[in-house]
Amino acid sequence: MEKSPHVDHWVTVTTSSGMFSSEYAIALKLASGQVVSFFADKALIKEQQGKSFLKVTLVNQNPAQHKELVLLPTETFETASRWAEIVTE
Amino acid sequence: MILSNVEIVRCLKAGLFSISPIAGDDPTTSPFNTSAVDLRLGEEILVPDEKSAPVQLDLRKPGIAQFWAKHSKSLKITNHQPFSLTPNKLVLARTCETVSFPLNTTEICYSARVEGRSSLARCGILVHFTAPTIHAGFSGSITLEIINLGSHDFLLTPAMFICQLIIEEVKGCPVTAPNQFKGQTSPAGVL
Repeated sequence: MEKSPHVDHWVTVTTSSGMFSSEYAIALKLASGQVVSFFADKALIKEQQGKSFLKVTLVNQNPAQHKELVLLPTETFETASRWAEIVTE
Repeated sequence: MILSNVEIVRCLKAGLFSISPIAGDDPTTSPFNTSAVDLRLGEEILVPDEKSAPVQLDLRKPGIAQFWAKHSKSLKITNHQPFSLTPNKLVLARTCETVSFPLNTTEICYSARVEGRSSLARCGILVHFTAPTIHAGFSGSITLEIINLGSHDFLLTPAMFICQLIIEEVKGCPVTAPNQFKGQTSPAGVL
């Protein structure tokens, strides 16, 4: 059903047990250094080489500054926003 | 513009958004109303811990999600063992159905609002408050904040029709696709 031109985009996060069995509690470090938290369905998480990756929507990239703006699946507790600027690896 | 029952079924069949597993596909019968579709209660109920020590939540500090994960208890309800929601008690639950409202630039985007049901409202049951919006781009089951403002205990049973979803068109694409995907974090074999 996906007709979107948006390609799946994955960002590194830290996961721990969520409230519901079908979700994780997520910790994500923003470009500002602030660590934010929120919940995400386990279906949005992939594990690879000991790291956890969260599926997000890529909104904009700034390769020169190694930053990107992404749209999170849900708003964070700490910023009350789904928009997140993060540092690319 | 709010979608009618007939339009909701048309969009579901066209794959413009999804509600799965939906309780039926005839727009003239349940789970459809004339301008909404009813969703059912899932089997997991989360009961926040009773306050055992003084806690002050400060959303400026990290780790709020982890705090709630640690300070709640998960219960599975069945038809034989429903959850009795006592007056003034808050629990969290989820819908049986997973919904998906994809972002796209070539088709109209859709969003939704989750609302209570009049029958439950008469019993004093709120199934959500302050956060009804299911944004364009959301995918997942819907979390419900259920509180009993009535004067009697109320039984929460699995698959009961607990809320309704009102679906709307979103004018304009919320996010334009970036031209470049250089530097994308894409674990091999995942994309």
